[in-house]
Amino acid sequence: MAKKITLSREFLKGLWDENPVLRMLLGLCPALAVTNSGINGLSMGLAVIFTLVMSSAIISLARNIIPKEVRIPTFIIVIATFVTIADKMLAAYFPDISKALGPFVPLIVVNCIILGRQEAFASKNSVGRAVIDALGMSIGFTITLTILGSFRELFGVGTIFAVQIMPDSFEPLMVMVLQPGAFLTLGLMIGIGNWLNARRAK
Amino acid sequence: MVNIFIIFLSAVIVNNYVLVNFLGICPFIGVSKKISPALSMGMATTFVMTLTSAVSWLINKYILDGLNLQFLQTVSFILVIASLVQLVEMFVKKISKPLYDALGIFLPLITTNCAILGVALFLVLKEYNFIESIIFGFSAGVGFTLAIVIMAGIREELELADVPEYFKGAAITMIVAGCLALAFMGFSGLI
Amino acid sequence: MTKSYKLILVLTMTAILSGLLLSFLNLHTKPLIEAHQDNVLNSALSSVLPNSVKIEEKIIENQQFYFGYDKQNRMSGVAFLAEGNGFQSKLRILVGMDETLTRIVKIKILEQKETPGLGTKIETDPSSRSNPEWFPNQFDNLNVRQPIRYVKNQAADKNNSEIMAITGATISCKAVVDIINATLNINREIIRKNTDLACPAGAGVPEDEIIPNLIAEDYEIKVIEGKSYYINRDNSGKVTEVAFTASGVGFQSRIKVLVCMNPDFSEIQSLRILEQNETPGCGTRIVKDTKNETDQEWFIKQFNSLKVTQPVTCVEKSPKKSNGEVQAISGATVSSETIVEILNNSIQNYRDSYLK
Repeated sequence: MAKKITLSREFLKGLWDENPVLRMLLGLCPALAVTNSGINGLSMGLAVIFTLVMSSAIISLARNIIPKEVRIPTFIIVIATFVTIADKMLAAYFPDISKALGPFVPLIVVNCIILGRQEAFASKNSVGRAVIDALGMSIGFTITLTILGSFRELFGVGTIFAVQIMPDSFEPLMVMVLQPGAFLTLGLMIGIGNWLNARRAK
Repeated sequence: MVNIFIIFLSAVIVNNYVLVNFLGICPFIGVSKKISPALSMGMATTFVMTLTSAVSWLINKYILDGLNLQFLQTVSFILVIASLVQLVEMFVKKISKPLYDALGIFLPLITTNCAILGVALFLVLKEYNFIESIIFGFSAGVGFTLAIVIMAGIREELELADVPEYFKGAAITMIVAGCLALAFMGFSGLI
Repeated sequence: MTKSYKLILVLTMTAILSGLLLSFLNLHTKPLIEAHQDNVLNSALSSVLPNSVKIEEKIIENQQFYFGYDKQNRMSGVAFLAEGNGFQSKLRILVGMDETLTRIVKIKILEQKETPGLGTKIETDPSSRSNPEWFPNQFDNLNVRQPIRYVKNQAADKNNSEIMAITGATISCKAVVDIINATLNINREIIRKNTDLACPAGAGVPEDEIIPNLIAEDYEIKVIEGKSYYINRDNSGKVTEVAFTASGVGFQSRIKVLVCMNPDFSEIQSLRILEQNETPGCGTRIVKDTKNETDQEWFIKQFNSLKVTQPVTCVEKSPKKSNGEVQAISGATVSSETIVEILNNSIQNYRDSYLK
């Protein structure tokens, strides 16, 4: 029973307490770059879920074979392989999304979340735990990106997932879908996250 | 010559790596508390970026394109960067102790700096030639340095400002970065 | 020692496995990705060349052209890619034109990464619910006999090659217009120079505005093998005159002429220069020779009733008209020779198609 609780903890920590973007400030590049619409944020999140879960599983399986000295290069090769798979699959089956995300899909390789989880968790834990941890982290990342993207889309274009929300009279705040909007929105979200956390601690 | 100048201006100001292309955000937030380490980080990054752009251009042209292996692009670029950073670290350690003390601790961090891999991927995308690639790599580094040093300068002052409690640290940094990005937008259309 | 072997072994194995996996992936996805790119291009091509059932791809002078043919296998349009820098990204535009390259049929923006919400309106404008593609649609059936221009805050006159710019994205609009204008200029020249292509030499000139003034009013246009002929008949319906346009590069500009031939193409009836921009005072003497006081149009008049059963030649002095010789203008030899060259190249070509 005790084990089960920790497993769900393992999963849940990624969603809030150790939320990669809001709490740990990891993976900020894609979080800022591709979130000009909800769908882009979600797609980027899904690509990260795939890469992180697969790499964590493989690396956790091979954790006893990989010598300590070459672990980083090995991790990088494994991650880069899965990123390429995700990239090519997107290009083959979802060309529009692939076009919108552009070079930020291959850039998942250097997303600190992924290498960070391998180094800190997958290489030290069993497969099951590694996968649960990876799922939690990447889903936390995905949710954050989707909210960020939807928020920017709502105020910048007046839609969420391309569905009209704002009334016709609403004049879109162009700056929200531009680069400054990304920084401002994320800053706001981090601040609100801090505030919620502080309230919960009380 | 004009072309090279345009690439330089574009990468440094108009399409600033950090503020417009969102590359290298992690070090931009992480190492921008004080001006002097920010400057060192910027210089180390510029150095590695210039080298990377030269090497990855060669690899892309003669190995990946030559053998029709474009699908190995991501894997080979990241490996090149990782090995290059390692080599540079060993080299710097050997030749100059003060330089190593100044840049040394930043070098391992650079491997996972997406700005570096970004440069490699962008220069393939933009179909630059060899000289243009090197200039592009160097200018992207200068742009990164510019952004991170400006940010560090602001954050040194920000220490003294009365920021709402929950916005201290990363949150206010983001918002300041937003304002900086807004300012840099003014340059767009310059070229 | 064994340790370093192990290091090398693990790294090599990982790299080999990764390479193998990716090769398999590539085998699987490459055809799909390429098929998708072809699809995008093909659907764009069929929308910019709507009357074509067959599209042929040709590379001439490093420029890619797509020639469209209709059911009767006649040329029905030409499309090409126009590329250049926009406000903050590279723009790739597919331009479909009619077969005379004087009218844009439709354009399609294939690639752009302009400012979201502003510059992106050159492709789609979500704020216009009824017609989100109003900007690219402005190019439909646009007359491009003169360079396209953009206007701001006023209605655009389509017949005057005007389009309306997007408020807040003028630079992106200007880029689209400039890119199309520049590419069109280059490509027209290429098509013209390669006249063996079934594309009329007379593209780009306001023919239906100028030509009626030069030849009889009730002329008839006939297109044979992609070449346009202006045919004149007398009251009994007998052909009296066949005219066509041809062009070439002179000393410093493109020279374009209207050639009127007798129906069996043995003799030039008259020659008109439609377009030239040669050195003022030198090359311009082909049109109006200010140094000759008796007859300023003596050069052009030499061609009246000139036999062309043999190639025309240009001589320095005392030409024999019966031998097909004309006199060059001293001081404007290159311009003079260009006219002769244009004639020699085009008459043969037009004669063959017409007499067939």
